[in-house]
Amino acid sequence: MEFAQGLTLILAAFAMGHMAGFFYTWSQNVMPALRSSDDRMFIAGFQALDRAVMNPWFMAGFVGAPLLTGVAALLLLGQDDRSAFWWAAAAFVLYVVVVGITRSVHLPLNAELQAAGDPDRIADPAAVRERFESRWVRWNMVRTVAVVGSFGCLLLALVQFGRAT
Amino acid sequence: MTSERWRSAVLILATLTMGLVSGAFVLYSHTVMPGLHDTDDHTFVAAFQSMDKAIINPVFMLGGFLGALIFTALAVAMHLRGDGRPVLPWLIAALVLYVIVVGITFGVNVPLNDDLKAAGDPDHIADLAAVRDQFNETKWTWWNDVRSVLSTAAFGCLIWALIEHGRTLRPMPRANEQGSASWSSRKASR
Repeated sequence: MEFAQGLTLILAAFAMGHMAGFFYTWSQNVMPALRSSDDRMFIAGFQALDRAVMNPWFMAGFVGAPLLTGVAALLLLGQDDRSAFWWAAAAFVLYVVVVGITRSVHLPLNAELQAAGDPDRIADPAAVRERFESRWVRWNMVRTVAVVGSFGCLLLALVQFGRAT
Repeated sequence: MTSERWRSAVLILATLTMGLVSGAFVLYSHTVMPGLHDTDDHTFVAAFQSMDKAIINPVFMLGGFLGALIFTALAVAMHLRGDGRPVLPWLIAALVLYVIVVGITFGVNVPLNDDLKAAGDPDHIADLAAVRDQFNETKWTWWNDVRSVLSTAAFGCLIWALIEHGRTLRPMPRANEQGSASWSSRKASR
């Protein structure tokens, strides 16, 4: 039991750390870089990255992080000391927020930007960008704070797990 | 704060920043470079130049790239003595792995980045294809994959170090037990 608890918690922290780094890099590096480019460049650049992001590595992390965190939390319920459980449960809840924001804000915006088509053929690229950028960036900040918080909770869960075993 | 708490805080910060920076390398490996690979030369050069400029900011440097080095080194220094010893081998492994990552960054990736930046505004570059060729996407990407693997391994070492660190902490006394008695019996049974 202790082995299963430790293993899922370690894998959850792994996946969550990479997801935190993922959103953190979008908010600290990718979006600030695109901000300074002109409208057509912005659209072309974002479309290219959005097409590339649907890869198995990313999907494994995006889906694996909550699954592993949820399973780890359930298994940790079996410990007498509930500290690790509560941190893992908090991490799970924060990541649910991340998934909710992604589904209701980012995925529709991404789909809209892809639907605008080849940026060289868009009549009014400034309008397309206008509808997209500020909302995407604002909610990405929220997503980043939530996922880094979730990651931090799992690190505290690891310490508590070590202390209790 | 007690020294135990300082150790916990620094170790958690090291793991946090290592997780973030390894996630950044991995993002470049699986999304940014493959995504840019499919774009035309102008978009590639312009996008890479602006990403390279944007990544040099205090939040990313302290919260990621340099933070991971500083906090991991600090964690090693704080565990050199006494009851920090069981954690030490994992911290040293993480530090060595990450020092290699920093070495690759300054030895391979930064010089390539600088050459691309030196080419100037892509609107004024006569032969964009040649500039892109010279940047050597294949080389940059290959070494970035190495950085992803090594920093992820360092991250794994720190995750394990957190558990080992937790083991050195005194467990909370249970309501129906004497705290010190339970701790010494746990220690003896290990």
